[in-house]
Amino acid sequence: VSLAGRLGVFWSTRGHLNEGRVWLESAVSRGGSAATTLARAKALNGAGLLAMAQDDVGAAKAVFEEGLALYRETGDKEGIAFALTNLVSVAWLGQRYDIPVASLIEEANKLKPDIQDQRTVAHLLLLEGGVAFARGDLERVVELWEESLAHFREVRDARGVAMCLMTIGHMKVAQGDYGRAGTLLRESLRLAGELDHKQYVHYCTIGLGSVAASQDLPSRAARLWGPRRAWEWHMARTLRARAAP
Amino acid sequence: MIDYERRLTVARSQQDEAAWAAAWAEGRTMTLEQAIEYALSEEKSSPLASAQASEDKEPSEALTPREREIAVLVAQELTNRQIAEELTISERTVTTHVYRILNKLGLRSRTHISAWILEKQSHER
Repeated sequence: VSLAGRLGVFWSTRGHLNEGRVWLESAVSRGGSAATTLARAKALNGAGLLAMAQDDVGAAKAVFEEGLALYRETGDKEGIAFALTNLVSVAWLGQRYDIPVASLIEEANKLKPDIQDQRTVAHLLLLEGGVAFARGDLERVVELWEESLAHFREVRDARGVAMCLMTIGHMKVAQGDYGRAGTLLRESLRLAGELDHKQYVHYCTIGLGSVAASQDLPSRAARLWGPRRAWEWHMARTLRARAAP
Repeated sequence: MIDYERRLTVARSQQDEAAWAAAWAEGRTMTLEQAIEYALSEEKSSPLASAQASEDKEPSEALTPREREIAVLVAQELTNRQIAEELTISERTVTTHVYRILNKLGLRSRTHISAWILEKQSHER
């Protein structure tokens, strides 16, 4: 279970999503009492990230909730905080209004003073940025996410850096600052390419498609948006195959 | 979080259907590596883009991309407030854009903007 949990990031990054989910779910179900609660919680978190990468929101919610319950059992504050941020991201990205976002965020904020791990701090800042986004304060969103980016850079977390650059880039698109958006998204894309993180690559190209559209280059925009559509289609087909008996 | 469907609709409305479909198909068949290379190439174009590039860069109208975006939303009968929410800009900024659109096109009302957009789209098809 522990090994599968650690491999979660690899599967997620490299786009081996189905394979990773099968391994993680199998490891969690077979781990039984031999596996520690913490290892199971980590594996469940990994499975949730993979499910989210496939847009399988229902499954992601279920495993993140299970993982959160296990982290609570262990009292691991870093783990609880990370699981809370993941669950909130399901609510926002997956539009799951049945997730009690306000209370989860409140819980995460209470944990904040006890969090030492820079990665978890960075994730909490992303969460705080999401709250600012919900109230329409885009400038504050960028501030918080840039702070998050600084933490990810400090611990040399390339995946976190790519994610922050990408999200700030999309925010700049929303603000109409296409020049800055292009710079951020290209840097993120380079990193995502090095990491072979297919999901981030597609999010970056779709953002760069908007930049191209703003430059009066509709053909270029179409070429950049096209791969994302192909990816969505591929993901939908993969999920159907997974659901088939 | 960002409404790309709307951006896509606007970009599509700026180009004739065949050129759009060709570019779209080209994008769909790109491998991940090709997509990255193309996205990072900035002004360099793919083979098909080379033929299209000059057409793309010629401003087909006097409006800026943002103004065209807003004109399309006006044609969809959105109010200034709704457009402001859609684009996450202030209502006042939208009002300024609409004023400029009217001035540049020599039109007098939002209805005229709608008619202009519809006519432009029908010519492009």
